[in-house]
Amino acid sequence: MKKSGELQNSPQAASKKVARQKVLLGLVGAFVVLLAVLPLFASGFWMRTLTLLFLLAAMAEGWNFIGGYTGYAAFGNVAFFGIGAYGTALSMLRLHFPFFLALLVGAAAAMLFAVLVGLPVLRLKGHYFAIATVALATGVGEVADFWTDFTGGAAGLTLPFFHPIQLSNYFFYYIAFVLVLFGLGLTYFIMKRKLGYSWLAIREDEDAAKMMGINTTWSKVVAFALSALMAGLAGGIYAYWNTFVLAEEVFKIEYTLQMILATVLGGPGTVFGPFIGAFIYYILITLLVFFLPVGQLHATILGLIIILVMVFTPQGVMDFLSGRKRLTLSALLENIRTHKV
Amino acid sequence: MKRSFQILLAMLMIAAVVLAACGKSGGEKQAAGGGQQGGEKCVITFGAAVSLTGKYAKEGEYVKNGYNLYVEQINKQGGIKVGNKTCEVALKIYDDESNADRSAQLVEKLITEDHVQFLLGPYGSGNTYATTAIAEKYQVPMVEANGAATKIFKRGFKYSFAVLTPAPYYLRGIIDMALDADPNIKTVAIVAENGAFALEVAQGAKDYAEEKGLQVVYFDKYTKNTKDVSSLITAIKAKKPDILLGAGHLQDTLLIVKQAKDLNVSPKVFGFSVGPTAPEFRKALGKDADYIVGGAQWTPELKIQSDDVFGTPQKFAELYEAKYGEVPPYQAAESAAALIAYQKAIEAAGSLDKDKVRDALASLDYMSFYGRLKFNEQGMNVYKPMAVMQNYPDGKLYTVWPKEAATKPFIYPFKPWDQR
Repeated sequence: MKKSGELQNSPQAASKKVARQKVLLGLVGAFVVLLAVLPLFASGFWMRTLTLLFLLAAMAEGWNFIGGYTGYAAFGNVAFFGIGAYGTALSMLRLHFPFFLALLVGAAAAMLFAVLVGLPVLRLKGHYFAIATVALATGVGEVADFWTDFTGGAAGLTLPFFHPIQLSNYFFYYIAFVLVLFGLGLTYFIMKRKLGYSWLAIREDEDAAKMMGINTTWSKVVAFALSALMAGLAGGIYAYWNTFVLAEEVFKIEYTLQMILATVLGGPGTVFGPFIGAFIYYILITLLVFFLPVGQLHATILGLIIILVMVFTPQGVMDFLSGRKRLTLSALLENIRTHKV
Repeated sequence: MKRSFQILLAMLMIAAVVLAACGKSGGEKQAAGGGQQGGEKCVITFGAAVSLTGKYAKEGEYVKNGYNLYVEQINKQGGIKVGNKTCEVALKIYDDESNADRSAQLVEKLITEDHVQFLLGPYGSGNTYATTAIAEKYQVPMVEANGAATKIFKRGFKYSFAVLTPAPYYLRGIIDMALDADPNIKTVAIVAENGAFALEVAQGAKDYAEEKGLQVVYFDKYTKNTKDVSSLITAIKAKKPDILLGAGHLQDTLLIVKQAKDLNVSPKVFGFSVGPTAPEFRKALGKDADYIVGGAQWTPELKIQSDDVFGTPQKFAELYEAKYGEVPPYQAAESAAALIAYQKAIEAAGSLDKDKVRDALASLDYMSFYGRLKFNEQGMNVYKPMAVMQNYPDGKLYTVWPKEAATKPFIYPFKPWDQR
């Protein structure tokens, strides 16, 4: 504790911190360039893996707004993913919109839903909010499953293939990639502005924030709507990419858990945390499933790794990357003692 | 210290990317080395993503067993004849964790990295729906054996084929059999699980019953994984149907039987699409399983003579029991049949060219131990009838329909609950 206190306060440490941030930014930049040219070398399998990873990262970036910065444990963000998927698919099938327009319709529907339910639900706090969001996601999934006339019901919706088919791998890879970059940019942009500071104020002490004249309701609803925007766009891309929408697939709770896991692994309330977390999580899973001879134990091993990471770095790996803490044994033990998220 | 962590992370990320790039070049080498022209020895590799963990783990195991049993038998004979040489058969199977995303990812890997020549299907309509789209994208044939929903085949795909009878045909056998036993039957009630496969089964049964002049007095669906269907059963009781049909899966089938007993609902024919033929059905219900009938894609008692590697359903059952220690479920038989369809198509094409084999599959018409293998222009096998099995009071399952294959007569009517 003493050590990290020193690090943060002295001017020497401050300049170190800036230098470190530059290194980090450089690394991420180099990595982004690498990802941009990767399709020239990668196989279809890796393109698919990374496309799914990007969609997960985009959802995690969205979750970070409400869960990371504003401090509201939203457990129902898959609802926005599903609404985005259905909105996009229905616009393409029923209204014959081109994909990009349909994608915007899907995302707008997700945002509208977030605003409408956010106004009442965001009055809840803590566990109550978490439970309400879980219930919402389940409820929306059920509606999609049973409203046969509108959503196609349990039989689902079938979308046409992307044409020309030879380019479809590239198309979805790059569009998902652009979505991730958009999320990074959006996060950075907001966190430099009053809106971003109001989120942090709400997370630290909502009553105090209100006293200071912050319109907390508005701030929270915007955070919720922006997380819906990211998940809705990801859902729309997913729908067209997989060429079908099934309620049981696009409303499954695993997606919510994955976006939370990615954010928390990387570092909630940081710009790069969700992106890095999604990468670590998904590459780890892929390596475990495909490249290590662990048989059917992969889920167990993954669970073990996640528990270890959570125990030792409850603030995510960004804790060490950003220089807030040094990666030493004492810092890890300190994390266990003060265990807070 | 702190820098070392940064470097570590960067290395991890870069390693992943390099791995991705290597995957491709490595795979290409494999493709050049393997393949059909590799000297005297040639190998045909089939790939599949099958659920070995997750909610379909049990069914997935049957599928895998079926594939493996065929491969073992054909390799005993030296392999599949391609033109004037004989190629050994190899199998590459991954676990898709009963997850459609993973299933699609794996099939993409089988095609672009492992370079398998032909694809086999996963278990279940959902995963089949996802993976047939990948096969179509790369124009690699996929003969699947465990996705019965017709919507899989209504997308105009050219490279997907299914050896099993499609969902709408599942309950037809029971309706035919009931009418054969008692031409005075008038009314049918149908309940279905709210899922793609079950809804198609129910709709198919409804259409067929109406075509046969029966009156469908009740038709409704219930939520997946439901714990209570008593409101549906109560409504059905008031209608007093002659036939009660359920379209769903094992767990909800058990629930319907239990609650029908509680509410004393006794139709003359009590049947389901899936469930009564599984050993778990008898285990869970005991004596209450008596007289209940179920549709079956295939049974070991069918009387078929074929010139494939198995010859007869009985021979298949014998080999399966010797290897896996249990009576073969139909999932294993249809999975083996998918490989037989490939074998016959490859022999007819005399080549391993994907498009030639695809064309040969499209014009295939072959009687296998599993039944007739022939595909309509959408790729579905609508030419093989469904069998019906009944839980006999002696605690065993017997094939009771079609009549020519029946080992025991169909016991009609269902013995009412209050007379037991």
